[in-house]
Amino acid sequence: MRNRNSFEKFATLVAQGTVIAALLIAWEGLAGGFGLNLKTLDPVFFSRPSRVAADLINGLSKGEFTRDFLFTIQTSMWGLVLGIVSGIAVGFLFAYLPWLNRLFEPLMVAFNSLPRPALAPVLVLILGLGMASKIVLSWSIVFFIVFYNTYAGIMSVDPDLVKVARIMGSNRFQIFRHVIMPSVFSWVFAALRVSVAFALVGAVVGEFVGSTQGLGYQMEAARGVLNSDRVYSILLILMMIGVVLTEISKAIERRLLRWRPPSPGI
Amino acid sequence: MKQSKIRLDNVSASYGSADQQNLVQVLHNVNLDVQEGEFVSIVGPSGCGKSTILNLAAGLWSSADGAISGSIKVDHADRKQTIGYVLQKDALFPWRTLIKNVEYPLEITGLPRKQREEIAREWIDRVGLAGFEDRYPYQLSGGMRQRANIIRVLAYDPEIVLMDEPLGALDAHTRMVLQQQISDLWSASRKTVVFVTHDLEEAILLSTRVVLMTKRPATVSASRTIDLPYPRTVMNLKLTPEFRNLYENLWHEFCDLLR
Repeated sequence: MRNRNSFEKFATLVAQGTVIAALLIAWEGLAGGFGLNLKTLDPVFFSRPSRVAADLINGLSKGEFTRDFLFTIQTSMWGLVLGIVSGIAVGFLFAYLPWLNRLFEPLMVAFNSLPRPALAPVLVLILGLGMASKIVLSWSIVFFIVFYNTYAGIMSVDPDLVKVARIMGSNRFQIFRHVIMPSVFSWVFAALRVSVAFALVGAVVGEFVGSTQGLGYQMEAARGVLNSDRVYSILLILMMIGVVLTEISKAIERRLLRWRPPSPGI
Repeated sequence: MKQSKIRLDNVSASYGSADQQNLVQVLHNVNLDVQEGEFVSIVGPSGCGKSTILNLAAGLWSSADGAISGSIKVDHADRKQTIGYVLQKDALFPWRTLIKNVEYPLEITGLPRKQREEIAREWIDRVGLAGFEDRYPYQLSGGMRQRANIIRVLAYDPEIVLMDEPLGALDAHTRMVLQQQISDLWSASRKTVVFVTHDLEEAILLSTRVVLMTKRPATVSASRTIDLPYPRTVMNLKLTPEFRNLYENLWHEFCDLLR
């Protein structure tokens, strides 16, 4: 059984690798590689895998990405942390003070409906080209995700759990600590993966619009001088950052929500 | 002379808002006197307000729920955790393991970890859940969860135990196993128990007294003492003529109530 399983895993891996390799080879060939000189994909715009790899290695060895990489990571992590903390805080506030919720509901709905990248120009205008405008943009996305999850988490606390906790003699604080909080955190952590991904989106979009640093900025600068190799290199780096952050949040989720039945199929 | 632990005198209760328009009366002049050490089962058609009696006894009725009249006296020591309430749905904390669930009521009173673990383990052993201490509720079967639900209440040693159809959602076999366990636990402790069920057989098998309720608005229509000795073996008891007699007797009344 185990053998069969590990064989299947191996076969899947090979198949997946083949698909990726085929796409890369096609890209390389169609963009003038392998001495074929095909120009189906103009390498000026499409570059090609070998050139991207060369540029990536070259850039990495010279440390050309380091500063911008750190900038992007810092802004998105600040956006993430601030978004989570404020989202939880405001979620609780609104859940416990229904009048506050009623008062602000239209405003919250309006802001949440706003495509957040559209805020970028405004934020750059107000906060300048530095880190602040990107952090706020990143925050503005994460905040709503966490806020709505916190609110939903509080509203969906199982009343039977509150009931038994109360009959067993729990005071208000203990009910909050042992029933409400775990329930809310399960919602917030379930949304962690999405939050992390959107924190990165916020940071990069902010850098596109107006910045002096960051991977988004460097990409935009490379585009300006038609350096397509560099554009794709940065795309690859961003992809890697996304994958790593997603895996980290998955691990956190698994650890903290191990009491949940595994969802079928995933 | 035993003293009465729960006493309802002419209690009527209605759910709904105070504007009298959409009040639904659930209880009508209910008189019930549960003595110390009794195991009283309340049997009646579903929706007749059996659970309301438990909620009243547990002090869970608030004026927002509706209106009540009559007098309700629950005699218990002046401390917390004197009443245990077992719900039909096993309300275990999904984020706590089995043992942590059983420890919960002891934890909130500030009992040191070692002691509460010891008590919890003892109860887990008694109902045959040893080996499952560190499972989360979703990893347990329905019967196991309900057992955990029951011992979580017994672990803090309440004076009065209220049970609201605790076995209602279980399959026939698991049900019988748990009936036996409840019976054993009770004959060992002789706590005051009020047990709500819609199953007359279960009520007779477990109780020292069975109370029949009418349809809504419910009132007590009969109260029969079940004079069968403890400890009882649920499986065998069902087949004895004494049991059959009691059962037939009450069954006719029970059927009249459903009409």
